[in-house]
Amino acid sequence: MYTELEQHLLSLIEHSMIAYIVLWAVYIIKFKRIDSYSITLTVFVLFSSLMTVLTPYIYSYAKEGHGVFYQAVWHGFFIAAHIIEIKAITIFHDSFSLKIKRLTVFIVSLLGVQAFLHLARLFEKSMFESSYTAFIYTEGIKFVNLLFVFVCVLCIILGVKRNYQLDKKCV
Amino acid sequence: MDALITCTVVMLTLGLGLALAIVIKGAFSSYYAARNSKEHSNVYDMKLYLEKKALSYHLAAEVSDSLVEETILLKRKDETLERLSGRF
Repeated sequence: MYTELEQHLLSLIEHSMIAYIVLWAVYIIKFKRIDSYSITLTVFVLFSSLMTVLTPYIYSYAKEGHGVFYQAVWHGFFIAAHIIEIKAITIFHDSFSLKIKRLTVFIVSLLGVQAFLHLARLFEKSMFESSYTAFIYTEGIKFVNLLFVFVCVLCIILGVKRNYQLDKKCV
Repeated sequence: MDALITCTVVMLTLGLGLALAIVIKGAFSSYYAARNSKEHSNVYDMKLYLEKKALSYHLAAEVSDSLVEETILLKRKDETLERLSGRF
């Protein structure tokens, strides 16, 4: 199903996920501060783990039958997950009275792009039953997922750097 | 039956699209609103929050919140200065 490079990339993403969870825990325990980066990473890691666990079940269910309904379950699950994820990021920022960083806005935009790709594919399948957007959908999702790895690493680096700077100050 | 399912799925797609647009708009408006707001900060200090809770508890909540915060910050400053002076 996947090429060797894609399998390597997938295993890299799985390892990165574990690294995020460890770094996220260190971040919270060591610095005892909550900021825009930590909230974004926390929500992102939790939802990514949830989607990684649930995807095989949803996939096998969607493959069971033929029809728009099964396709809607597959795409609808991801769109709903992305909507809840974006909402959760906004709500957590509001509840801690925190400013949203530009990188967080970028992650929200990427989530929006992924959800839009799912929406466009589902709309095409249900209305026209064609596959013109299939290539853009597949490659687009893969590209955004790969981009997430780099953005999240950047998020961790910037967050840790900022916290060390804060620790250097007297108070 | 198929037409009904297709119609429902199209409605669902439109509904999800609308929800997505609302949520993204909310995130962006929150970003622009908080950018220049003085009520919003860059960092939420959990340590300060916990110390504040503990101190308020001991003082039986008769002192204002800002005074408690100031006391904690002064205490921390003293500790830091002590730590720094130990190096010389």
